[in-house]
Amino acid sequence: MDEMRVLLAHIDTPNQTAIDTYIAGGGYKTAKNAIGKITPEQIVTCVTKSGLRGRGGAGFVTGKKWSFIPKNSEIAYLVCNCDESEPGTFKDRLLIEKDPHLLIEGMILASYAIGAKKAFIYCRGEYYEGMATLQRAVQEAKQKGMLGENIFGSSFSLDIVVHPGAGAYIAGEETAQLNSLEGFRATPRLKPPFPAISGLYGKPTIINNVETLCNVVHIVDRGAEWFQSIGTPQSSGTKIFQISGHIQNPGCYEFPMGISLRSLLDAAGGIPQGRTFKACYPGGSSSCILTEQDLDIAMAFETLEARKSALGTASVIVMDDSADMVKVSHRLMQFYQNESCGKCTPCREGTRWLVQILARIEAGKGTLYDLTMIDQICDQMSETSFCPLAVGAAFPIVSTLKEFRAEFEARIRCNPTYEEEPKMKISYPYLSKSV
Amino acid sequence: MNEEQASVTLTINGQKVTVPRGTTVYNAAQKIGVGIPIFCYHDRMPPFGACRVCLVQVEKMNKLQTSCTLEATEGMVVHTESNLAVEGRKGIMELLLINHPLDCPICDRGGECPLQENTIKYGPGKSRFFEDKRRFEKPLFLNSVLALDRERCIVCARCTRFGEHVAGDSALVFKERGFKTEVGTPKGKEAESKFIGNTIMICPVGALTSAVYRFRARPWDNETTQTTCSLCPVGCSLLLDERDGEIMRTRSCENRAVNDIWLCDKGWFGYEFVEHEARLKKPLIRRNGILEEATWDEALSLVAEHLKRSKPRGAIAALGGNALTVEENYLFQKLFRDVLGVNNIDHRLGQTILPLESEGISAGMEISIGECEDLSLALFLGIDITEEFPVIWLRIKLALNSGGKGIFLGHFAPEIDIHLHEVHLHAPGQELETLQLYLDALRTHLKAAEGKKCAVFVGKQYLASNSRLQVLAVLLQLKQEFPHLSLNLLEGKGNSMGARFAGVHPELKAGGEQARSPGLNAREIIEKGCQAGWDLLYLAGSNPAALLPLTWKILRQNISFLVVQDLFLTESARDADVVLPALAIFEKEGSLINIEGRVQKVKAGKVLPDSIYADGQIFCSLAQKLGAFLELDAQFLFALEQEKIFLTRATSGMEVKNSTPPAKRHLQATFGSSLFDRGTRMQHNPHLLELVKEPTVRLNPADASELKIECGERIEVKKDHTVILSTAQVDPRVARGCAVLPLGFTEMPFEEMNIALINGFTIEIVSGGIR
Repeated sequence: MDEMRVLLAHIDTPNQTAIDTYIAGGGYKTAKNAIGKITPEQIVTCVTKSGLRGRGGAGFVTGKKWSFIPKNSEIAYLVCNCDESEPGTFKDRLLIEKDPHLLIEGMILASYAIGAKKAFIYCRGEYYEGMATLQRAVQEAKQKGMLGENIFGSSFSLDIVVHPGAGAYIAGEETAQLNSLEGFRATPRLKPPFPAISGLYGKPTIINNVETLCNVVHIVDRGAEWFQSIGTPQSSGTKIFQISGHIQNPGCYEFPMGISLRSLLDAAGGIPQGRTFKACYPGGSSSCILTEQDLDIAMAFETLEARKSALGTASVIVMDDSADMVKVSHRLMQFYQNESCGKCTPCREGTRWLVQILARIEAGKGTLYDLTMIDQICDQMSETSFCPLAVGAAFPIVSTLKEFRAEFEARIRCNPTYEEEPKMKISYPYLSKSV
Repeated sequence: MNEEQASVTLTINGQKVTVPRGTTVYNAAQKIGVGIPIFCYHDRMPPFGACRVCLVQVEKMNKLQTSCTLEATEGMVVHTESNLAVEGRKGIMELLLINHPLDCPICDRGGECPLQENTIKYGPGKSRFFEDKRRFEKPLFLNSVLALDRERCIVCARCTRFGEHVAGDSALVFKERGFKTEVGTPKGKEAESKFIGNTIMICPVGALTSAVYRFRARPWDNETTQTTCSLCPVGCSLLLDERDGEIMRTRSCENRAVNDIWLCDKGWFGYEFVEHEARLKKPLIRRNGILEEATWDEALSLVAEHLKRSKPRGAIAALGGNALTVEENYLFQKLFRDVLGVNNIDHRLGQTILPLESEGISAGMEISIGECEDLSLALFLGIDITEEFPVIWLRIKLALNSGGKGIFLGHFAPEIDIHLHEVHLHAPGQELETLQLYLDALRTHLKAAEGKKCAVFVGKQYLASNSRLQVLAVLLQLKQEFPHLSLNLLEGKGNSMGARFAGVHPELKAGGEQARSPGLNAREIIEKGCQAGWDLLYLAGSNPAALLPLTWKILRQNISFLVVQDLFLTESARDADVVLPALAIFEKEGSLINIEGRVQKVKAGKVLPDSIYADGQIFCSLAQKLGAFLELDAQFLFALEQEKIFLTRATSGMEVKNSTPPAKRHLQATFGSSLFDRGTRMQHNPHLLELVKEPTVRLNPADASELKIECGERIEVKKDHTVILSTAQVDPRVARGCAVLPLGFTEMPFEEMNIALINGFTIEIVSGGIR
């Protein structure tokens, strides 16, 4: 199956990051035709009709999110979430490094639609190149009058600020990102109020993913019907799938939503020779694991949800038969442990406890009792945590344990006392060694 | 909004409860006595929802909900004891405990620990955690009074949010993230706060403990007495915890009208002086030039003899009273007025000293401190509120949090200026001019806040200025225009309101009645002493030798007989002929009057030391030796039965004049007080003493560069013939043309420059001395 490049259409064009190249390829035409010519409401309606769902992971209908901005709010902000930190996800990086003006054009349209005069790009701290490219692009756009006062001769003005993150996974959570933008610790805020009512500096704010905003340009340009005609009824449009792990040609591939997992893997060259497919996380590491039986599943929001997994960011982490699932779980949990912001108890304490248990199992010192406990701790975490981070941390572990329980048990059996319930080890904090 | 919309009815555990709209499920449950554990939620701060222990099951919601953040809605059905809720809660308790050290037997919090109590009530009873617990080096002293045991912390964020929402100083912050999250200070420096003691109280575990109280007692061994703090005129309600006759600690006592549940750090840690070994235990008499211990009878007889001998000439004066109760102050002035027939008695040494006619309006508040929470406009006129009336700031901060406006006009910006909307600085001498320039803007603000509470808080920079009367006249006029504006004059020290009411004032008798033949005030007593001398000077808790060390040298030579009544052998006591030891405020009964005029009781919170008497007893004994009988008269006691005493506030002698600003060629001086100074009692609070910052003279950067003075440079401050060595601090928060002179430090006795502490005089600053 061939790729269908809409968002990635220009990434191979030489010098695409320069504004002139972008304009020569038809860039800023959509914004020019829209700003001041059609009403913001028309854009919101168009995006709503297109069925565009957020590409940052949650898949919320973008047009609906925009419509939550209170009418007549004097100040509103648009924040572009470019804090791409989900393991296995690298689509935004490609977009901002290769075609930054597409994002800026999308942000102009979105800001116009929601009435924002100031927009922010919260860029992952490690994306040095992307950030520099974005900054250059914003500068160029300002010089060319695409940003600034009275864009395209309309009464609409917009300023874009590129803001670097400082390297925290949690800053990808929208309210934590707002805290970070305001200069505070990146910890999630209480909801309600939702950001669309009270967000950045207490003002109505819309937070959209890079890929979502890039899609807006094409939707406004080619119409909602065109967008709807691509993909599945509940997941319209194309999607940049990122394939990594045990795969021949890892990278970004743009396909219509609903492509089968098998076709996707084939497009990326398949599993390395001599190996067989074992499992994959379909939507970044925070989604439930898929196995061989799921190879024909359609990669779309609704189908993966029905499978109790998630499309997430459509970052497929592929594992072949050489993967050690205990180690995979342990490594993933370490990631969540280190990235938990520490605000709420279940996430802060649960992730660390799970790391300790998984490390023990991996070292061959686990007990069968541990497996029940893993399930219970994960359940506690996902049921009672403050934000979705802990839920995302629990998903992959619970599902991996469910699908590959035999592998865990085999490792546990290395422990001669694997059937015994562990006994309390008294630890004295004032002595250097536990007794 | 009609009745139905204003309230909602929900069902909790089958019981119906109606609460105002906007109430959280937790508070609704509290109302009907349904217990829900909490850690991160604190009713004085906004909901946070981090600890997750207050989980409840709500019908039609698919996940457990945190009751502290969930707003109750009409028809909501809540279960706190369903299997799901109980299991969820247990799970959280288990997670909270896995890294908690469970060192309760040696933890200060043991016995009064919310984590301990909730573990017993709601915990799983058994741990499944067999891994290594988190460990930290312990303890970490965040400053001299605050210790942190990081492994005990459950990251509820109460202490960090206290700094953010209540105190506004953000003294404590989180560091690291995830399970490594720990409480620390910005940039790892010592915690800088005037309210850090409160974080110990609201810490739901033993992570934050008092360095003073640490390991000294178990809570169940302490006997608690309720009393009132006498260290500043706010008069916060205190609890004294005593064990085996010794004061172990002080705690705040909830009083919605005054301090709510808070105290400043002087209130939290300023009790060590009571048990200090340097306390005077026996009377001292100077024999052959040396102070020697004597019996009470010897000492009192000697004092009485000298009083008798000096009586005919009337060259007697008395200073002190701020540290005494109202009753004692009454006896103090009665001894001098009625028994000895002199009116030279004053409590104001170290405070602004003005004759009645130049006062216009006297100190006091028109609203209660509690009402400060509801202000929609707070105008600070030259008041450094956190240094002088710290807990009032906490109440005003709440008003600012909910949208109230804060405006400051004065000589130097207060440390809380980031929470204010406008700060206007001006040099001393331009008070009236600045206020008049600002009047139109102020009127606009006041108009916008019609029907809401507005208050002006006038402080030392305005009250102790030469334009006091004119400023007050302007404010009175404004008050007539806008009746919703209250006028609050904040000045004084300790129980100065009580001392004034009791008549320890040269022009006022007890109850505020004007004395027919006024005596000399504190400034005049000092000045006359230096020239004509006194046959007898009586100091009751006053220490002129420390305040005015240069003047004292001359003054002392002209005093024939000096009696000092104090807790310690102060600088003045060292020069005394007779020293009489007195009880501390925590050791006696009586009343205090705070800045609002509120009469509050003090009670003895410990076993009284032998051989030391209360100031009042000493006055009575002296009177007896003089053949008189001192007692509190019924009318006076009756006046003290009231909740609040409204001091007569004369409003005479004030008129609005157009100001003529002084030439701005020279530096104009203003005085700045510090909450943590080196007063007598502070010197005997070893932990608190470490919080004292080295005194400096603060200057605007432009003035400093004009004078070619750098920050940290040694300087000479000159006024007439007085030269005082100090250190310069360049501070953009000080107005141009203004120098802020610190008060309360013997080594830099700027009180010498103006005994009455009236600001707005010209000084000269030159670089000098060794750096």
